[in-house]
Amino acid sequence: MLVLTRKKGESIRIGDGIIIKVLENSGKQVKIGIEVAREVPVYREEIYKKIQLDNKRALLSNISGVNTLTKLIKLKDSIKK
Amino acid sequence: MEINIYNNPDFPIEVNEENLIHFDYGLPGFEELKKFAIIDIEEYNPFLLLHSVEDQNIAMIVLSAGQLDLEDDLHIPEQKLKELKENEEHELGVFLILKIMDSGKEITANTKAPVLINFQNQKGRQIILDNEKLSMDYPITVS
Repeated sequence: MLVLTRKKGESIRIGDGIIIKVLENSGKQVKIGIEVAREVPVYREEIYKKIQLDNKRALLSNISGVNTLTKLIKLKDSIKK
Repeated sequence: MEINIYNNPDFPIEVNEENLIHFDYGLPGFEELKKFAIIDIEEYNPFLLLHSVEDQNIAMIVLSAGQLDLEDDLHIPEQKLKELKENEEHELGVFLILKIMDSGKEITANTKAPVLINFQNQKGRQIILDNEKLSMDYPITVS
């Protein structure tokens, strides 16, 4: 991992479209400003990881043991039309 | 193209190019998958399938957020909407990914990370909302 030391008010530029700025540093917490093209998603890493896990839990293959497949079997004829 | 629902040859379904939804960033956990289809099976109503056409093992049950009474809590900031709208006339569909609990009796919805779909330009994205009232396991009952 690249490590850079920055002071409050200083920034880092990544590529041609991302700027990360240290806005506040209160000791325990750092407030960061992010300038990025509006279509680029920005997430808090720990929440993104939770959503990754939740999406995998939601897969049909994980829950088909219940009654999802039974439901789908009942729908077989309607799907083939 | 024809895909098999849940990769099962007993459940073939035709997906047209104009029904594909492009997820430029994939879905969290499935970042490499960019093309999905919303599959509407009448008897399954109001549930829909969000189905990858690139990996036919990847499919989730989703529900239009409008089916649930959580409009106030599920407020999506204008900024997030703009990320997917090309112009003001575009309307977005809001879908929630569902899970069936092990009991088979309870269904929960991920209201924390709804899937936004712009059917006009066929683009979609799963966003993450900051609202603390929202949950990845919001219990739902469908009447």
